[in-house]
Amino acid sequence: MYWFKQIKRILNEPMLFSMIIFIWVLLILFVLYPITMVGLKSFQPKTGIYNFDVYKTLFSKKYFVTPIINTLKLGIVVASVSVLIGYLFAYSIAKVNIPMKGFFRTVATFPIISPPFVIALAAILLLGRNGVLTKGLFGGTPPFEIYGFWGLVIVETLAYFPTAFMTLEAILTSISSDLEEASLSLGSNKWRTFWRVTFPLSLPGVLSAWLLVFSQSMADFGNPLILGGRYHVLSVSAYLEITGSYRISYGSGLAILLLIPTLIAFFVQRYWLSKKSYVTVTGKPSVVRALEPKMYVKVIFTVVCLVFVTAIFLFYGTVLFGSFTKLWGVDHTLTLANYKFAFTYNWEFIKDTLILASIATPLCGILGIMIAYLVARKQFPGRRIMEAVSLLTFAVPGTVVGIGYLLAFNQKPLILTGTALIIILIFVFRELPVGVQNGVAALYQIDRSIEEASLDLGSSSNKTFWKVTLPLLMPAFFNALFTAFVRSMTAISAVIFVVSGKWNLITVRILGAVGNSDLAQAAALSYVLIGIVLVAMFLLRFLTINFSYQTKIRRAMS
Amino acid sequence: MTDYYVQVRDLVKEFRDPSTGSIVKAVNNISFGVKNGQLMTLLGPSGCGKTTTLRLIGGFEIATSGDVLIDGVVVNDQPPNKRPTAMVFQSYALFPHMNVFENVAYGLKNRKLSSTEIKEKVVQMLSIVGLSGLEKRYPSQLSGGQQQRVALARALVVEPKVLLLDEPLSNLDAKLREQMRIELKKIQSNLGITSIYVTHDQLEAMTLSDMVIVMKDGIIMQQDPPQMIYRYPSNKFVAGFIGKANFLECVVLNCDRESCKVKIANGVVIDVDMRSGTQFQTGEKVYLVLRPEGGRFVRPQDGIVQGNVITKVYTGASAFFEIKTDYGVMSVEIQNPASVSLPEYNEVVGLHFDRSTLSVVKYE
Repeated sequence: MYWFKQIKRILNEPMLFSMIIFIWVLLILFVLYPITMVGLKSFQPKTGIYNFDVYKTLFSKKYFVTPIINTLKLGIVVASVSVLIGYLFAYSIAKVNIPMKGFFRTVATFPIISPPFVIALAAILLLGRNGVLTKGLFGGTPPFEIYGFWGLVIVETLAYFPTAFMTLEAILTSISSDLEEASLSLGSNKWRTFWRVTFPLSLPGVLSAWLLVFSQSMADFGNPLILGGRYHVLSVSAYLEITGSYRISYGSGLAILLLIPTLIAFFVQRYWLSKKSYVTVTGKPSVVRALEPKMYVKVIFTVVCLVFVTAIFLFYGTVLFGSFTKLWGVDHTLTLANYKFAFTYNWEFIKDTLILASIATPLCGILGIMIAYLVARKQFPGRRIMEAVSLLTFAVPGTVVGIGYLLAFNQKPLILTGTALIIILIFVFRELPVGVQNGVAALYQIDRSIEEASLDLGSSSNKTFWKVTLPLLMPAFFNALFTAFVRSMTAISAVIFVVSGKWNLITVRILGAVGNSDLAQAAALSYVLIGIVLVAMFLLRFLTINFSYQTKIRRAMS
Repeated sequence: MTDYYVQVRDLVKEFRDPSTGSIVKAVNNISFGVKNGQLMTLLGPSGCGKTTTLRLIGGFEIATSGDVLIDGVVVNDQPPNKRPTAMVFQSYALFPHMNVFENVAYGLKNRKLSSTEIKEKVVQMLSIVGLSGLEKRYPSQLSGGQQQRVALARALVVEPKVLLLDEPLSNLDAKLREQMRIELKKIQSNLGITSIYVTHDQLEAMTLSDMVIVMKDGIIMQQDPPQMIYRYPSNKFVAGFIGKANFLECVVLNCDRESCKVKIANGVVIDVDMRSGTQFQTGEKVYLVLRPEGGRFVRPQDGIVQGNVITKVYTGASAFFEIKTDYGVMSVEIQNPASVSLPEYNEVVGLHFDRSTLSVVKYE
């Protein structure tokens, strides 16, 4: 009855109705269909036969069981270490009044916006067989095998602890210092206050951060491909099964095994933990006055943060230095030759990536905002499901998406293999959740009565959207554009399955260069990529400054 | 009935409770009317359906059944942008990306007016609400009281037939609220605009309204001018909600047209004025409503009840007492306490109440 009423109302708004249908078609075709194809393929060892043979083999052969265990082990260790470091970092910034907070926060976000394998590249440059540290400090023999478990732990921890940091900083900041002061005034010391008040309140955030990093580590493809050595993980094994051995069913099976834990982590994090949070967001801003700690506490926390920031600088600096050297480990003469090479021989890769990402980004942003608007502001059956599906690609590892696109669009009714379109589609639908999430969050912050006021004063709902809602959404929209662009530029795990000779990507080229031990060229290309990201960032800042209403207000004030 | 400018007929609004899935009647078959130029208040505790009623009149909710009429026209099917109403929101709902001028001009731009006309009207309205000179400010640069005035100006400038106000003063601090309350009343009666005002603050309702509707659980409990609601509450809920009240169980001895004799459990018989038209049966059990501000202290044997003082609070303009009697704790408020001698803590006292502050409601 209720559904019937809703449907009846939607049919009265043909514009809205067609929009809903349009989005569902896209989501089914480019999100659900490819993933379903991976699932189906894993039950189909030979054409026309459906059974469990693939999974029987996967769980019985040591060749396949090892990567399963390896991936889980790596994920658990990386998530635990990252959360520990992220917590220290977040606590230092949110609760211990350390100096240079802005600086620490900025540096901690480097790994999020840079190409995923810059840190792996740096690890090789530093600790590989020709690494500067290996030679300078350890006399030529690596202190431990960088190609393998410990190498991956170091690299992934540096790459993913920022995620934990950002999640935890948000949680810790939202814990009002009133609560901590109340505990202190009731006679608990700071140590006890932390363990009895602050920590329990931040626990949902800790679990959330752990699950996020765990999923990221599970889904990581670039780092294990470069650094894995004989330590096989699921994403790389699946890739090798498909592109190397051409055993697509087994590759699909491995991808599904990768998908299950990440999906579980996603849903637990999103639909269970988010409800567990003790922190209720009220309209009243809670004042965060960092309790002024003792000097030595401040020093300890500052030093810990400095150590990690130094490590990040060391890694990025090494790659920067490497991009200007002739031959790493042998001849460190400075030269611009690598960049010249990058802009001549490899220019095609840079150009293609830029074109494809530039086409995908606005599409992704507009589609994301459209979905966000529908989900947050309109009533229609299946609204929650639409939101979940549009966010799904957050949870699905790139490897699974890549295999899905490879399987789904290599056959009728839609043959897209080898086209630019398939890469653009992957970009759009991989980064869709960013737009949806930013949009939904922004819309929930816009008091509904603001739109009602506009209606009340005589504007139609169409005019209200353009005059009131959209201007207020602009900052979120630009932010989504930026993130989508950066992530498309640096994407590798999904697109590597669909790149063709015609359209090639800079990230794929970097991987190739590392594979050929052309480390200097890989470093130079990485920095070209970083340069593009920085330009995009300034562009974003420019756009936000010139087109957001907040700046208009700030200008009016001065 | 036709002299009502805004009229609500048999209005029902059902919601589905998202947690249980059951149907909740937020507004349960209510009818009332507002005369042209009057200010009517919907008063009640939170969740009583007053805001839903207002939103139904504004067109933000679609009624399950029933009609809303404005100036004799059924407006059920008109969306908010087509209705001749303008709303002042509890959160003000100012457009954060527009300055004061643009906010106030927003509604006018939907009418085909020239920009000089718009400017004229906006400037005039801003001077009425006392905001001249702040045209270029943005909402985030204004104080709460100023934001409130912008919201009011924005609603008034489109010259709506009906002004709807949803707890407009609840976000202001006490001093400012009092000041805005008086100003609001002035502006409303000067412009002579028919208004419907939602609040949970009975003081606000009493000072502003020509007519008050007290609501509870989606039902109208009483509908009267402020003085009548206070003097003759029609049931125990209204008596307790409007002002303060002590209740004593009584039995009706006999009634004539204007008053009743009622007997308290201790045998004391009291004369109580009746509103014309209300009837009680002889022998019926009722509540005697005694307003604390009508009470005074007498010798123990002279009072209608006696007891000992358990609380004594001095607030400046008045003194507040709680007296423990055989029939429960009763409160008494003495105005201008410096002028009389007051009992001490634990002293046994008798209580007497002015006849003009007594009334009777049904036992429930």
